[in-house]
Amino acid sequence: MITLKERLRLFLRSFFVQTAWNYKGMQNLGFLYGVAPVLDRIWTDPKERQEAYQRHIQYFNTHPYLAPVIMGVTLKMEQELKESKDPNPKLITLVKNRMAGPVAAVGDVLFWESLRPTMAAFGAFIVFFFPGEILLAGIFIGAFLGVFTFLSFFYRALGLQWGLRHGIGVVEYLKSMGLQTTARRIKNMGLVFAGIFAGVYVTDPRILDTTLAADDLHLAPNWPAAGLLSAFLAFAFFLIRKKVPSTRIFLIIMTLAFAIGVFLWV
Amino acid sequence: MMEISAVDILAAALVAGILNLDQVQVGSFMLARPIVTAPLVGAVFGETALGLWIGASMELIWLTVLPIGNFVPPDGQVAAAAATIAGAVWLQGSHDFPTKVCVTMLAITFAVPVGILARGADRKIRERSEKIASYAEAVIESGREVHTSLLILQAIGETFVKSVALTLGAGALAVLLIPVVEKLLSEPGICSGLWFAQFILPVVGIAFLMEVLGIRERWYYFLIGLGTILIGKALLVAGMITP
Repeated sequence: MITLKERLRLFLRSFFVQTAWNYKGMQNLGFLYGVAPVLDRIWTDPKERQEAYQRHIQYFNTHPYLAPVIMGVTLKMEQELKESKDPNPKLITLVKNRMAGPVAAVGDVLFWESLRPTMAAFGAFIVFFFPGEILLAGIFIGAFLGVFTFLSFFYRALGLQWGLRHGIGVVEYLKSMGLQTTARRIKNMGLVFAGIFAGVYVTDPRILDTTLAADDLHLAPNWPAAGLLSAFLAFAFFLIRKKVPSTRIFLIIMTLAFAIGVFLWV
Repeated sequence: MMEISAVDILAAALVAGILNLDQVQVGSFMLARPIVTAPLVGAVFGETALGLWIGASMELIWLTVLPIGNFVPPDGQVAAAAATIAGAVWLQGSHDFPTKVCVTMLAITFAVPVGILARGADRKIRERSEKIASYAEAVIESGREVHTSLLILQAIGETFVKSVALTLGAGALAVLLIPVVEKLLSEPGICSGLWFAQFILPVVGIAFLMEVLGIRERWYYFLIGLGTILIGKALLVAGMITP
């Protein structure tokens, strides 16, 4: 039985799972740091504790928000090992490593590849569309931070509970939550936003003529400018598809744009 | 005109150092994303708006990159902090809009190599962390007690020092470059080029967003957004609807 105080400690320590991230063991030290207080309580014999520590200093890597799920599962197994319900300690390491990949995949797709770029781009375009509106931009950036802080706390706190309650069955439980479907929906929504951003930005006549009134929505698009911006969009997308690194794409596009800008002035 | 002192730059570097920990080491609350870091660093100089503009631009440059697994991308957080410090130093409180745009673009161009340099430092930090983890492993193996809290604190400290040192170094370099920047700003052709490049930057961000969200599999969602805007715009221009 993991006490409430121990759960709170585990939750707080789970924020450090990526500290000391390294090429060999990845999150190994962070994971051990998280579970160490509970291991100390379960294994009072120094030899048994040493073996438990050795099990958890081995290679480990998963999504940081969902790491507590696996912490919960492994500690439940450690407890069962102590109570001799499960006599095979190697199974703990095996389960831990087998779970890390699928759990990381869910987290990466949902948080890193869907929600983060969509929300960050939304915030960036608010800044570009409403320059000088610090309060508005601040609200959106605050919302970006708020959503991620909430999700980080939510999945860490509940993930630990899920792991402790469901044990190995937690993977099935996570699947039943439909997180992959949620990620797909966020991506769909993000693409609608991308279309809106592209449409608004490319057709905005103020882009190349800042003397125009900011609030006049009846202005016709500046078609040559729209064509030029669309050409740059297509070129950037072409470079991305060619797997050119993002920093190099930035440098290529900016150099080209700079040259055109100088040419327009001359 | 606001004078920027060495203490301001040091304070900004310390803020950047704390925020950098969020990138990998602690939490991952997105505090280390350029769009969050830059306005917070800008606030130290009273240049939140400049920070917002720089942060939004740099967010779009590195929209698709995150340090996941073995991949170490250029450090967008250090770059955003460096760009904001450079921007504030070079702007020196000026509120002239064209100057602001030119300075912003110069600061971003200056900071991109800083981000690439910081990637090398990030790799070193990971190698150092490997030594820390190996030490822990050896202590456990020998049967002695391992103090994981101290090792975690050491790893956090090293990352913090790395980030502060890089940001501070970039700030010092920005101060040294003031005469060069003043000369560049006096060239109308250069400002014209930077002005135009600034308009193109969001377009690159849209392209990155399309790619990361998988436009090839679900292009019709992009068309829904684009089509809605184009039809709406056509109706507005024709006077058939009013906003």
